[in-house]
Amino acid sequence: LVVVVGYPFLRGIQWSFTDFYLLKGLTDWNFIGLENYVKFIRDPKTPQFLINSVIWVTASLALQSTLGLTLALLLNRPMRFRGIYRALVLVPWVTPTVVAALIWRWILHEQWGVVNLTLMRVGVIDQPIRWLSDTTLVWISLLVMAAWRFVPFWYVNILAGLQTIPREMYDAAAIDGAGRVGSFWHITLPFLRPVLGVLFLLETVWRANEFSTIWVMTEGGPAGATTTLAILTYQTGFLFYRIGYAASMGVSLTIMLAFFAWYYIRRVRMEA
Amino acid sequence: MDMHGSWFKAVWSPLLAVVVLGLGFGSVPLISAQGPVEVLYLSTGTTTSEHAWNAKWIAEFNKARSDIRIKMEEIPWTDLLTKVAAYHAAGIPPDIAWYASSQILEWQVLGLLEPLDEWLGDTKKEFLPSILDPKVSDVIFDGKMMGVPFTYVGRNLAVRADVLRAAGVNPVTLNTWEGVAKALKASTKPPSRYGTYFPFADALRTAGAAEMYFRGFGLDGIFDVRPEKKANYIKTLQYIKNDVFPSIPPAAVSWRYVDVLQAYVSGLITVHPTGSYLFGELQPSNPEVMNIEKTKNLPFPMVGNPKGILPMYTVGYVMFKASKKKKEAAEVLKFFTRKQSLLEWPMNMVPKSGTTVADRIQVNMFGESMRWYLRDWDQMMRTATLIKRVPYTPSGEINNIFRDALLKMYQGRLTPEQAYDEISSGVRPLLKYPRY
Repeated sequence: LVVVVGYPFLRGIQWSFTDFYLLKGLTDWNFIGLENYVKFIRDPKTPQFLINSVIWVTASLALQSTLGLTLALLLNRPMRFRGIYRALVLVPWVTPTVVAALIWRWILHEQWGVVNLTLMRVGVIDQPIRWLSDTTLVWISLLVMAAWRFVPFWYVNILAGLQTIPREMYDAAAIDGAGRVGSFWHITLPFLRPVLGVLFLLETVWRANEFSTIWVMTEGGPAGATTTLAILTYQTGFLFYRIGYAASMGVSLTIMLAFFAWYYIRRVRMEA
Repeated sequence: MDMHGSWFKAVWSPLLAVVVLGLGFGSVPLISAQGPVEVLYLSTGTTTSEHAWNAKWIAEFNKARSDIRIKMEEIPWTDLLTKVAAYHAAGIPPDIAWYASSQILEWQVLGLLEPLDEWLGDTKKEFLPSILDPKVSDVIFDGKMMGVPFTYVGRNLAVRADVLRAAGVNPVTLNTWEGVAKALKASTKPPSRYGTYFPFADALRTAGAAEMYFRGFGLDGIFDVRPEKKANYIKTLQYIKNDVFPSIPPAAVSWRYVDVLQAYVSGLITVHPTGSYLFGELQPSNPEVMNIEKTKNLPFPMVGNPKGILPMYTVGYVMFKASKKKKEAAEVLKFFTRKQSLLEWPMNMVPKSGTTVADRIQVNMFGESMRWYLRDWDQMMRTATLIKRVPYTPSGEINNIFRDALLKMYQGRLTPEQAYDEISSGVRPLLKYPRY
């Protein structure tokens, strides 16, 4: 851990206070204090990248948690071939992210993608829908792809949580006259709270750091419309060679996530 | 629980032992020092034909030399600079790599390159006549040869002659900007046919596709924001806005290079700013398009020059200064730039003196099918004005600024004048080369 996490982490923090720029040389850098952080905060584009990150994380979590919970509730009920369905739902989760993103890119391709082709053939549309080039639709495309890829993780954890709820609780609630909705609100959700709490925390951190899905699907485009902080950090460091500045972005993202995690855990503990 | 415990121990104990041993003996070479020296070779030859050529000559080299082994890593052009920077930052520099004009300049600015004059010895004489030609010379810095070319590339316009003729346009009329505008308009029939494109999802390729307009309006390139050239720059952007944008597919906003090739092959677009590599790129998968009836090669139009222009540059090999195997890497370079291997090179032109179209047809993997294409190029290079493609750095950041401004102009968020202001204010403080 010291070698693969500790050293790079500390090195990143160190570089974030330097003017390290690869086109100046690999070893030619100076300490410049908080200049990178000030530049990042003052950059007129920063609010848009922050908003993009917030849209991406919150919409992903909302969509994925809802679908994951629905799927878990459905597949927790007795039905024929339940084992097969449960296994099939996991297929997107075991597909590598880059492969999944490439497949979705082709599915949603505006010129040759199967979605537009099908919609045009059945006469629903007469012009291709701009799934990846319209600044609003591109978010929907990304969120749908991410939901397809990551919902199984929510589902499998929530399903495990559901299976720990004693059947007797529902029987007692039924005797007391509780309906399905009442049982869900007063038994299922409270029992799932620990699982959901951990899932929300983990997924917030993972989605905020998500790179592959967005990069393969859109490279942060069109014109920066889907550039999140993680994408911006990569572009700045590895495409523009501004290592010091990119490090300050990475450290800022880490601080924001650490603060969120601290606040979230504190809130969950207080509620508990 | 016990079962899990024993399973855990059975699987993890040996693994742990391997890790501990590996760490313990990490500094001891596991392979005998007498074994072959491995030369790490980064290639951007990712097309089918380039890969086949590389594979053949690597196998030949590895068979002929028991003391050196080439380890090739294939990387897309768009990732080459990042990969080389990452290798160097990690302290494990590659030995040799492919370059094109912007890569060699950026590495030279970084001080990463090893001069090749002495390493190549007499063999360099076979390249010097072509690379010292001011039209293609992009590897000589401060009098030193920092790269050895295996091909020189011309940038040009490939058009779908069959589609244009069906639209009532004679392809030869694309020798002026007015002719191009008319052809784009005539061949645009949405949603199944468009004139041309900008692959906006890929800043490098967007800049590449834009090059012909900027060179053809008298600029050095998309980075040429000199105040005295402002009028030309804005005129170019106006032409793009008025005559090019109406003919590009809306989907091109999310296109990358692979989409461009598919669009050309399928006839979705008719005018393709490309280069002499197009035949080698498309012939293996789409020979039905790579023939004289369907593809017509033309120089870029140029204001006031009816012959048109062909921006030229070289692609070749560099050796990195930090390489610990320079002697072996030089042997690889000498082998790879022998006449026989270059004659078989499937794309572009060969920078060896005394090679003819007939020589290449005899040994090239495409054989006779390439004759018309090489002849087209032979003729274009005799008739058009050859100019040097001007490299610039930092290309990644400049391409990105240019792409974003152009896309905003396409989306109607910027006028050509505003786009110029955005590009020039972004590019001017960055530009390290050329130094105007």
